[in-house]
Amino acid sequence: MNGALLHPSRGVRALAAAAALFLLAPLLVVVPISLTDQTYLSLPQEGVSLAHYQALWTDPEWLSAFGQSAWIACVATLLATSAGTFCALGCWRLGGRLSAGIRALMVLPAVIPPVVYALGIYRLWIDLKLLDTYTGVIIAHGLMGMPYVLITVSAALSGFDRRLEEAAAGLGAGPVRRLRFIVLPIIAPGIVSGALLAFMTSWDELIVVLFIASRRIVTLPRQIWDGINDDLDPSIAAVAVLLIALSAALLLADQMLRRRAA
Amino acid sequence: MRRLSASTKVAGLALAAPALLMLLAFYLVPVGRVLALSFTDPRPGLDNYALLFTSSAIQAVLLATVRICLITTAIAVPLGYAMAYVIVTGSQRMRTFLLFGVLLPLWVSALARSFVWVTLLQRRGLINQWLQGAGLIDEPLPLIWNQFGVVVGMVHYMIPYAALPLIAVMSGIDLKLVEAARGMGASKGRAFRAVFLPLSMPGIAASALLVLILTFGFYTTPAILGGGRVMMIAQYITTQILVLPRWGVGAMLAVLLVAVTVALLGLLARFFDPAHMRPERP
Amino acid sequence: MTDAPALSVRGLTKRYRAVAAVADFNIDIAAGEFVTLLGPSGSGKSTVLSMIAGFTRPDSGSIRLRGTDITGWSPERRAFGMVYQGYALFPHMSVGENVAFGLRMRGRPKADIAARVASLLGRVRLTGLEDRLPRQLSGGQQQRVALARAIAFEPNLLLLDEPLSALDRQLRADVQRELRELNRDLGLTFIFVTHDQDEALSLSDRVAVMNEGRLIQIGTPDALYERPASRFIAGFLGQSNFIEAMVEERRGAEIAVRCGPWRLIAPATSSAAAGSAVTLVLRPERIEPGRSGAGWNSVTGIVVARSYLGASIGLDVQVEGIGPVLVTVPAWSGGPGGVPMPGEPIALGWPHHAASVLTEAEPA
Repeated sequence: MNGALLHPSRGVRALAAAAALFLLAPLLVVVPISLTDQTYLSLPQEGVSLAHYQALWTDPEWLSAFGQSAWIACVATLLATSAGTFCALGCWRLGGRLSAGIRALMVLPAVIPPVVYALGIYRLWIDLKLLDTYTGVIIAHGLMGMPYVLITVSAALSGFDRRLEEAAAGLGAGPVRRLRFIVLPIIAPGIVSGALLAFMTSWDELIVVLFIASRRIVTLPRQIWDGINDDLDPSIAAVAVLLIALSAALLLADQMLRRRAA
Repeated sequence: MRRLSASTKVAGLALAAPALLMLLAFYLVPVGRVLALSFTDPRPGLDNYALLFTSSAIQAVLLATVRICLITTAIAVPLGYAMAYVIVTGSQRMRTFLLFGVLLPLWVSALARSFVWVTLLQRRGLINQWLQGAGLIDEPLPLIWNQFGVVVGMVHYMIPYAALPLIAVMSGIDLKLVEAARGMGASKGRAFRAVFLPLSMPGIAASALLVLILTFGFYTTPAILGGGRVMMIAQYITTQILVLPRWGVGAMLAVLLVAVTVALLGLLARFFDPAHMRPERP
Repeated sequence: MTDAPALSVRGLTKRYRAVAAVADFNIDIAAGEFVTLLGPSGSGKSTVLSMIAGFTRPDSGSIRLRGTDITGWSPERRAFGMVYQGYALFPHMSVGENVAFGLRMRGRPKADIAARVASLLGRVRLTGLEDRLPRQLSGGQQQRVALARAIAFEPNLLLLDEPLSALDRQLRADVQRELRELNRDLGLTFIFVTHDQDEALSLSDRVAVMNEGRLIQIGTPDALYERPASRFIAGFLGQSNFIEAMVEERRGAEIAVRCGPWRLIAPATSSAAAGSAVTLVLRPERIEPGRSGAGWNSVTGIVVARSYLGASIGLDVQVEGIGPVLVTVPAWSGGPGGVPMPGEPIALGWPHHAASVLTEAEPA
């Protein structure tokens, strides 16, 4: 990087490294715990065991929670990504004050604490009889994911050379084909990056689900929540390991996308 | 010059319309309706707001919330600063490791991270086992279901958020200025204090505000690591609605939450253009 | 011109807020003609091009293509080829896909497209590079891809917006030649925008000079250079000496003017009556040291400075009653008496018809 003059001192480096260890080590410690041969949360005593992973695979509650969460997250991502991308394209076309205003409104779901939204949507779903339905959870999660798509797609569009669209128009492409052949392919990394964030928003979402789902819909976070509050079974550790691995994979995917977009 | 301008306005609005209508119908209206309950439920007036001055339970919750916010910020921001500083000025290897340390936790849910801390901090958790095994303590330490546990979990959650704006601001600092100060005879510490630290102040302000905003309304981590004995505002609201239900009180606290968040965001916008920070995780 | 012009522009006007970017712009362009819009930056030439291409909607005025009013048409319906400064190649498509894009949008059969792309790439000397991405090409190669893409679908018009400004001198000369050849071989109408006067003069059949949103003068390169209609044109195209003088008398096709101690003869213009003030515009290279006699004006002055320009030498000469006069002479060292040095006196002569005469007060 820069001149040795600026190299952080040993003390600062140690502090930073300690902070990084504090952040990462707990995420790793859960791996041996998930492999314990005991029936409570502990390190393996006699030897490692995959019993708790097998339990996940056979327990209908965990399986159903995985399935429901995946389904809800996928549909919510589709909703958030399409609406968010079109909104970003619209703002891009509009420009100026109006688009700044729309953007400020659209990021509200990401900046207002979700517990506030939970109250609002809970009451609305009571009235509309959408409590404990897929539709209800998907709409709520889609809304919470939209801001992230809007932000990443807007960032991608801010780097888009408008003359490319003009060039395509001059070559005979109408508005729809310009969008399909020129704009969307070029901003695709931004869209996928936003979709990843929208997916994670839904996949990890707890508080809204605590309000608007009860018996029929039990998402993975809800199932983990119940597990932590009930019996702290080591199978939760196995789930946590899977979630951390998934997060690491998505982080790498996102980094690759951003490098491509840059 | 804006080109392709023919029907730009109409087309732009048409494209933005679905998202805006969804936002209106499924976010702004329901949230607005509930916030309005704070003035009408159970009867019209400011009774709910009077509770802020009369209810010792609510005052205790607010006090605990503010205390945890301040402690978390006081710990997370300096650690985030150290990480950001080494990321911006350190060697490539340190940089990669620390960036991974910042980014990976952002992608792991609060729930999973809180659970991990339960396995470490609980009475029979790994830390107490190690300490006992090493003969350092006889009785397990009370590390969880108290303020200590909540703060550990919150700091763990917030360090990456503290680091992000600092990384963004520090990356924009012209490091040659620091070199110039050293060239003019300033010691390393002096050059840092006189040049780098003042230039990174907006980052510190943004970082502290971001941590305060996120901590203030946080639900999952305090709920799990506080075990019901340490109650922060989001969890208290949940109880008002799901257990009692007292909509007016819950809505009044939600208004408070929104007001504080918006006020802090307004302050944040003065220090830091959020457009410069790419969203990493909700 | 027997048919309707290939392109006919009438009264084109575009305002941004209160500022007129283009005001009452008129032009007729014949089929196969190479017309250049020349002007300093901010003169409105790119806005004119953008309105012709259909990217910018004019506030008033009309654009007709072979007699058909196309003012309200979308860019894709106009089907004009366009080449941009910086090329605007689609970064996610290969060279071949870029060139094929216009054909694909018109739904040509795949086999036709492939054949046409191959022949175009051959024409611009890029055979074998069709699978490369634009960023893997050099600037000159990207420029040629952009050209091939713009002419692939046989457009009605080719619009070029400062396409050469990103290239270095040598490449620029190559591409200029290529453009001329394309214009001649394909019979395609070119509208070229540039701020570079040499480029405009060497490439074009006609040059339209713009300034502050207005068309100042249009004509062939030599007409513009030899008979500039205003001080702006004379100063913008090449260098000029401006000699302020008073008309003494008018004799047929000539006028006699007074300028300090000098009586000079210049071509007559309709409005140059006796007693009116005029400006003679005189190109530095039309002046010859030491020449005089019938049909020649002659003055004397003192050389103030000289600068060696390679092919020529520039002399700053102070002439009484006129002021500083710039003269360029061929840099031949062995000529009679050689080229005078600063401080030496010099006699200057130029043919009566070499100067052009501006009469009205400066319009712009």
